[in-house]
Amino acid sequence: MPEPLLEIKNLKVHFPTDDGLVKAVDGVNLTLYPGQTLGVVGESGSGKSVTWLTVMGLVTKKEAIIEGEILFRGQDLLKLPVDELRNIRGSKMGMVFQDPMSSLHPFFKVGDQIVEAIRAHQRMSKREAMDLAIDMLRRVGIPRPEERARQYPHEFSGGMRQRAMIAMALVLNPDVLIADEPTTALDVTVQAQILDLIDRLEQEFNAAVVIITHDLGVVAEHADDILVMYAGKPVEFGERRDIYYGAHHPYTWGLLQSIARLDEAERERLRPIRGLPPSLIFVPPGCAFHPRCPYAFDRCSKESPELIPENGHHASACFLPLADKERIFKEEVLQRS
Amino acid sequence: MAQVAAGTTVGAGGVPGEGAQREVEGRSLAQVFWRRFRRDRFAIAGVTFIVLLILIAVFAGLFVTFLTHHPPDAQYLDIGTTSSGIPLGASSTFWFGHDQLGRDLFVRVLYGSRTSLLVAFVATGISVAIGIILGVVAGFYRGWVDVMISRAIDVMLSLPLLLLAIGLSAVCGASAKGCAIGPRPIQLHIQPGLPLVIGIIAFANWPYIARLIRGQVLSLREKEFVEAAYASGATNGRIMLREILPNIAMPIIVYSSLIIPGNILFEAALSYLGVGVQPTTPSWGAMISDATGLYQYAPWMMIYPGLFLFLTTLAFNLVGDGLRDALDPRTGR
Amino acid sequence: MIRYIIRRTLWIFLVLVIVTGLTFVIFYVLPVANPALLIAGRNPTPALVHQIEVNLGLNHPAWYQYLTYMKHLVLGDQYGWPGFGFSYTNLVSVKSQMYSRLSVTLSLTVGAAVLWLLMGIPIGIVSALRRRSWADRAGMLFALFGVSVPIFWLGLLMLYFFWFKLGIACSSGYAPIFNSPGNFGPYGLASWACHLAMPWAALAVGYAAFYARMVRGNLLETMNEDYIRTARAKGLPERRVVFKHGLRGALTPVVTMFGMDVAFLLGGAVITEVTFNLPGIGLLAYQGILNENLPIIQGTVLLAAFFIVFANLLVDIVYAYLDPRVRYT
Repeated sequence: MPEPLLEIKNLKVHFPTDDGLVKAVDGVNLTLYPGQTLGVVGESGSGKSVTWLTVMGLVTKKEAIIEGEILFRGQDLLKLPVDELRNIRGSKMGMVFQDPMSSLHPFFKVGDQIVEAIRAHQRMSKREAMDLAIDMLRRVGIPRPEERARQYPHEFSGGMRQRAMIAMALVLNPDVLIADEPTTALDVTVQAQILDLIDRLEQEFNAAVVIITHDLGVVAEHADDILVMYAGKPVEFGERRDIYYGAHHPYTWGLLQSIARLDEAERERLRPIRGLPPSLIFVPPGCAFHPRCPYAFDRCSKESPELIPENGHHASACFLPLADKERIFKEEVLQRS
Repeated sequence: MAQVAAGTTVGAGGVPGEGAQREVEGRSLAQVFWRRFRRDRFAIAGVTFIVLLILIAVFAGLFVTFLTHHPPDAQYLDIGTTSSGIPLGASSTFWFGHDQLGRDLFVRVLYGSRTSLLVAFVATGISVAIGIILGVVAGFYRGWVDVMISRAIDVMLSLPLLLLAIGLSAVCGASAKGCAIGPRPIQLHIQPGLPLVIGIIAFANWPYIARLIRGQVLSLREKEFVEAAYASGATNGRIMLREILPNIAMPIIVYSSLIIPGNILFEAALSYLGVGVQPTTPSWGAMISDATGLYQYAPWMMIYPGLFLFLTTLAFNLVGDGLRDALDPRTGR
Repeated sequence: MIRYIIRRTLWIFLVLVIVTGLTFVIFYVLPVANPALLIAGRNPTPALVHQIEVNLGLNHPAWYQYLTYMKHLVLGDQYGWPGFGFSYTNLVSVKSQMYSRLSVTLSLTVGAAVLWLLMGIPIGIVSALRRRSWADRAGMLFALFGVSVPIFWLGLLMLYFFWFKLGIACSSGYAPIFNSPGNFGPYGLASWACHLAMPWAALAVGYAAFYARMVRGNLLETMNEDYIRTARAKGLPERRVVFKHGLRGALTPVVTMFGMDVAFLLGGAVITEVTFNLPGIGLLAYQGILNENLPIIQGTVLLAAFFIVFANLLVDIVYAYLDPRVRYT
């Protein structure tokens, strides 16, 4: 087993608001290894983004109550002085956001924005940094990068902007790349290109990649492992094939059934999960998913299930007996999806 | 994520990590609006002051009848001014002292609230009405109608409106007959005094409102529910009245409340410059104007009317801010 | 770009034509008073009044007078270009009167503008960054005071307390830097600044309050933008995030506002000039209006309108330079 790159231990992120305490993240445990690609999946409000924004130090103790440990190469990021955390952020860990339209500053040239990222961490002349930035733009597949670097974000298409964002995140060769819904705002054709690009760069840079998404389809081909989150808690974790060919949690089943597939477009409509994600202020007692779960029984509304490994790495937080899970998956989920 | 921590709207537009969506959506927009407004102590203080002022304005006569026995126009030159004509200060019967004609300043300040409140509501109401009509028509019909109205707005906003307002006020207020606008058969006679001032303020203000509403209507037009109304065969008039107007009502209310203090100060400024209300009409601006030559010897002549003017605009500002924050908490304090 | 400038210049001319027409209607067609009577003095003979009417061109129909005015404006008159005519009260050229008073209004406006920027922007920034702190509350309390207080009342209060009671400020009125031709010394500068200190402060308070509120609101909104999160994710120091990325977005609209505010004031800060008895463009216009002195009114209104439309053009060009998304269309 290689040294873990990042270990998250019992992370809790709670936001005090006028309406009550929002428990956005409520007990996340996770280990990330070099070169691993992790897919984090859940609906909006599942805490998947907040978890990683906290890792990046973009959610701070000023605005939220943060508990637990985030060990990066053995160092607890939550205990690090602001300046040292800032130094790690952007050089050892890069992040790409959902909406490339609004994530680049509209008033600054794309090349200058990358140069700024470089020079925030490395002593380098503007010229050298610009050469590096242009080289990086080329590597993410932007044609005529010298010219493009001198343009403003609004002169880029959505896909090109996301490539620029990825270039900015990877320019200092980080150990971890966090991509928060990197394709949600893009055209379908561009989505695949961006995912392939992330895949390719992962090989080139040997970075660990975290892809945050609400769509299990997005990470189907790209993730080694998948973490499913619901209401601030992990509900299922496993290797890619564990999830796609034998998911154990009813919520994951719901997500699987809501993937759009071309080959059966006409045969059956998409099956959305009924109901809405819970308010994070008033999380239902017991298993947070039980009000929406078609298989819930008495115990689900009383006790909160733990994330328990059942087959090697594969773990789920659900009280259904393993045999039932396997049977339901085969009989109902596979049939339909 | 910062929104989750800072704002009260937990659950706005697809931000991951939000909660409380159902609770917020469970209440109607107006209820949320009212709940937020009620929690704003400053705004409530403003409302209280305005209500008191309205009572004072309405019942000013009662103060004279039962309290001071000094009508606003009665001149007490013998007991109120020195032999050289300098007004005297506060006494047990003249609480704010006298003005240059020996009149009871306290009573005149009370009556002055009528002028300011009339301007606050009537001038604002007229300009908002004009602004709504032109703004909705321009945004709704687009095309050449929009071009005409928009150009008119542009021209209006390029005019030195204060100078023109002073001028119009002065010209029409110069003689008791007022002035006439337009060729002879359809002449519009304008009488000097408060109605003229109100008309001028309304005239100076509508372009801002029309421009704001035009923008709102332009974006509303594209919304699905307007398309739906079209599809179901609704007439233009019905769409404007039933679909568009209710949806811009909130911004209109907020914006109207925000321009009220400016309008009050506008009237006070015109009266201060001597081209506002008629000399006999009590107006805080005119009282301060009366004090300009005498303020060294009779500072109360400008202090009290100014204080009331200041507190009134302050109160309207507090209410306007409260309404705005209740509508859009992101901008709030 | 060239076409844009041409179109905007044509627009400026159109607005100025409309303004002259409008002023002419308001101040010439409406009033009943005859300007000739004003000049003729007491108990004039009808012959004298008629003579003056002919001299002033008042015997012609209104449209002819308007066209004459416009002709002089475009081609110049006996006082040179542009021809604004002469004042009915003292028969001095309107142009020379406006030029001599422009320095007063300019002194007042520029000083106040510097003051309100120095007050408003820092207050707005601190309030936004330290939201809900005591500094924020104090700043917003000041802003509330500033937007509510009538400037003429504030001016009189300042005169009463600082000049009359405490004697630590100069009286109203204006002291030029060059008290006599060629005499430029520290005394001229000091007395100029001393006489303008209170007008500057009184005029600046309202604007400072307004700017503080606007900067605060803009900055709060900008700091919630996605690109600010990106800047932080890059690992930029917080100071740089705020002052480069945040302020750039938040202050750009302030530039527009500032240009227009200064232009409006250059056209005559009427209330401040009247309150502090400063012989600027605003006071000139005000006196012209009270005297029904049409040439003075025409000239000052036209000058004010010119400042506004010209500033509008300037501001749009600067804005397009500051915000690369804006194109000249």
